[in-house]
Amino acid sequence: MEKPASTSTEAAGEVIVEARNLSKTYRDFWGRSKKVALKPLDLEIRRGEIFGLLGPNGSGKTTTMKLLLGLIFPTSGEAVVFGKDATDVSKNDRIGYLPEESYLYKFLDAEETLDFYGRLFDMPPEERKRRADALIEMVGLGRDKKRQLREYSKGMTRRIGVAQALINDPELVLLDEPTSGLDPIGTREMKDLIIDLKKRGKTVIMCSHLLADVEDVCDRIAVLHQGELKELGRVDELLRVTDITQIRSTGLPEAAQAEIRAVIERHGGSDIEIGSPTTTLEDLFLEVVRDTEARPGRRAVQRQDEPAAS
Amino acid sequence: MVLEEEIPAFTSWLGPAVVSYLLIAALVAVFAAVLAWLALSAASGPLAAGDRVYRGVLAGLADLAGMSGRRVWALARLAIQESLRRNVLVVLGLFALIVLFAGWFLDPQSVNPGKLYLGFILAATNLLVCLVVLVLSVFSLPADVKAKAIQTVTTKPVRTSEIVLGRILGFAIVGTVLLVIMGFVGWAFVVRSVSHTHELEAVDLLAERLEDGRVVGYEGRTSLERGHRHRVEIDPDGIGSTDTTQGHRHGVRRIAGDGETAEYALGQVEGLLEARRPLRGKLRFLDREGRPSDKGISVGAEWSYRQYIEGGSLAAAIWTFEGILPDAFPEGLPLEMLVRVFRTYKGDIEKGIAGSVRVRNPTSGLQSDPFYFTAKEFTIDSLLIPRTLAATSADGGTRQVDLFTDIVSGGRVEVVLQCLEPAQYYGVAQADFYLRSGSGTFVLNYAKSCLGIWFSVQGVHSAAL
Ligand SMILES: Nc1ncnc2c1ncn2[C@@H]1O[C@H](COP(=O)(O)OP(=O)(O)O)[C@@H](O)[C@H]1O
Ligand SMILES: [Mg+2]
Repeated sequence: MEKPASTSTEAAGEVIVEARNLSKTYRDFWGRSKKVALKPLDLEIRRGEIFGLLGPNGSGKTTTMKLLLGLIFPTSGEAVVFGKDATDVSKNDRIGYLPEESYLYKFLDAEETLDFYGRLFDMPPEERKRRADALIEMVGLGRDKKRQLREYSKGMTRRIGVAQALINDPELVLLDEPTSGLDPIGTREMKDLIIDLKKRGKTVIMCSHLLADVEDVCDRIAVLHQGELKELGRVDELLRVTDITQIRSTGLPEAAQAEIRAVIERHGGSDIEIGSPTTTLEDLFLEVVRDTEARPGRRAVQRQDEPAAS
Repeated sequence: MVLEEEIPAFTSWLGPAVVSYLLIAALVAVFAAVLAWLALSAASGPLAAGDRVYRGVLAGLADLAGMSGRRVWALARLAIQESLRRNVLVVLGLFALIVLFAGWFLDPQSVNPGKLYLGFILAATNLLVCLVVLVLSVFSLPADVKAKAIQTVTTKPVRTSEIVLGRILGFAIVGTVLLVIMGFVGWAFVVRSVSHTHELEAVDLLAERLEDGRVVGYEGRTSLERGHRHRVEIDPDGIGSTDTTQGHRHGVRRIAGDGETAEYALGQVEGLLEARRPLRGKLRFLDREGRPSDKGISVGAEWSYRQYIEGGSLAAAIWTFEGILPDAFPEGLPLEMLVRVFRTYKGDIEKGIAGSVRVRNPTSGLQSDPFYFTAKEFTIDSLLIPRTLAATSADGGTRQVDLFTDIVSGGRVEVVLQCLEPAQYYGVAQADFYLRSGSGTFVLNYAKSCLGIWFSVQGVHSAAL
C-alpha cells in the first residue's frame, strides 16, 4: 500500500525539537549514579505533528520531557528546542507544559492561577483576562473558577493544568499524561482538544501509558521501555496488520454471509470471522452519558435482546 | 537621672542601614560563589570550576539586567496571596492578645508607663513580624520546591533572580503591612492607656507674692491620678504647666473665677515619648574659692558619681558643649537640667533652692547675665537660652550680645551652674545637663521606631532567604 499523502508534507516540516544522544542518569547526593532513566536517545519532532511517547511506568517518558524542557540537565548529549539549547529560558515564551502531576499553587483559584501564569508571560491585563476566560470555558471549569485548587478533584486539576499550559498560546505543547485522572468524557474532550491544537498548527508532544490515547491522537510515536527507545514511527504504519483484510457492511442477510464465506474460501482465505462487532466500552459509556443528558431519568441504552416491558 | 534611650536621627541611620543591607547581599553573593567554586573544584579541578563559576556569575548578572517588573510583581503577589491564604493574619489576633495582656499586667503607675507600654508593644511587634517573615521565607520556597509548584513556574519564561526577588518583595510587603497595622493598633493602645488628666483645686495652690503683696504666680500640686501627682506652676494670668512626671506633663488653664475661687482645668498628657536627643557636654567643677577642682564636695550619703557644689560660694559646675551650630539651634539653646538638692537645713521643702545658669565664651570668657531658677528634686527643668542675651561687663554697663557670634566660639560654649542659697548644695552629674537638639513628636518618633523594626525584619528575612 502507498503511504498517506500527509507523511510527505510533515516530513518537510521544520524540525523544532531535537534530541541528540540524549541520556539521563539520576545521581544521589554524593554523585553516585542511582538510576539510568534514559539511555542515549535520538529524536526529531517536526512542526505541526502530534508526537507520542509511549511506555510503561518508569520507562523514562517524564525524564525525556523534562530534558526537552530544560528542567533537568542531561548526563550526556543535548536537547535542542527552537534551535536553542533546552536550558535557555527564552524558548519558554513559545512553550506550554502540563506536568505529570499538576504542580500548581493550591491556594489560588482557577482564575488567579491563569492570571498568575499570564503575568509570567508579561501579558497585558486585558489579554490575560480574555485568554483566562476563554481557557476556563474551554476546559469546562466555568462553574468552579472561583474555588481554590486545593478543593479540586484530580480531573479538575488536570483541566486547569492544561489551561495553564495554553495560557501563552504556545507553538509547542508538552503534555505529560494528559488524560490521567480524567473520566471517559474528559478523556475524549482532551483528545479532541489535542487534535484541535494540531489543527491550529501547534506541535504537541504527549506521553502516556494508555495505549488508546496515543493510538487515537498521535501521528508518530516513540515506544520507550526501561529508558530505551524500542520503536519509532507513524502510528498508522506501526499498527497496520498487512495480512488481514476487513470487510464491513450493514443490512446483510444470513444467507449472504454464508455465500461470502464460500467465496473467500474459494479464493484461499483462511481464519474467516463473520459476526456482529462489539462496540468498545468507551463508545458505550459515551452513548449512555449522551442519552441521559438528552432524556434524563430513563435507563439509557436498552439491550436489544431484552424484552422492552420488563 | 537622665538616661533616656536615644533614638538616632532618621538620616543618620537610614543611609548606613541601606549600605549595610547591600553589603550583606554582596557578601552573601561572594560567599555563594566561593562555595560553588569549592564544590565544583572537588568534582572537576579548580581551573574548570573557576571557569564555570565565572560563567555562572556572568549569567547571573545578565539575569539581573533582563528582569521584568511585571513578572517580579506577579511573583510578589503570589507570595502575598500565599501568606494571606496561609492565615498569616492570625498573628494579628495574637498581637491583639498581647496588647490585651499588656493592658492587664503592665503597671500604669510605673516611672514612665508610656515608655513601658510602648517598649512592650514595640518588642512584641518586632518579635511577631520577624517571626512571621522568617517562617514565611524559610518554609515557603522549600515547600514550593517540594510541592514542585516551582517546576511549573520554571517552565515559564521566568528567571531565577525574578523568583527570588519576587518572593523577597512579596514577604517584605506582607511584613510591612503587618507592621503598619500593628504599629497603629499599638499606638492607639499606648495613647489610650496612658491618657489621663488630674484635678487641680484652687485651695491647693499657694500664691507667690513679692514684698509689696503682688502675686507673681501660683504653685501647688495636682490630685493623685494613676499613682502620681504633678507639681504645677501657674502665672498670674492663670496659664501654666505641670512638671514632667512619669514621662509626661499637662497644660494648665484657669477656666473660671479668680484667686481662692478659681477653677482650673488640666489638659491631656503631653510630651509623652518625646525623644530627648541629648547633646551632652563635659563637666568640670570650681571649688568654693572659685579654683578648678576635679571634684565637687562629696556628700557622703549620696551617689558618688554625682558631685555637689556649695551654695552662696564661688563653687560652680561648668559644662562645655561642643559642635554648637546656629543651624541646629535656630531658637537658641534648649537646656535641660536635672539638679539634685542637698539641704543642710530643711527650710521649705516645697519651695526648691534658687540657682543661676550662665553661658560663657570658653575662649574670651565673656559671659551672659545669669538666668535664675529654683531647683526641685526629681524634675527636669527646661531653660531656653535665647539667641540675644544681656551681658554685663566689668565696668557695670549692660549690652546685648549674640549667642552665636559672641558666646559660642569655635562651636564650643560653656554653661555655668551655681547654687545661690548659702549652706545648701546642688548635686549634678555630667549627664544631668544637656541640650535637647530637636525633639520629634510622639508620632514621628514612634514611626521611626517602627521603621527600625522594619529594617531589622528585612535583615532577618533576606538572611533567611
Ligand atoms: N529524581 C529522580 N531521582 C532518581 N530517580 C528518578 C528520578 N526521577 C525519575 N527517576 C527514575 O527514573 C526512571 C524513569 O522515570 P520517569 O521518567 O518518571 O518514568 P515515566 O514517566 O515513564 O513513568 C524511573 O525508574 C524513576 O524511578
Ligand atoms: Mg511519568
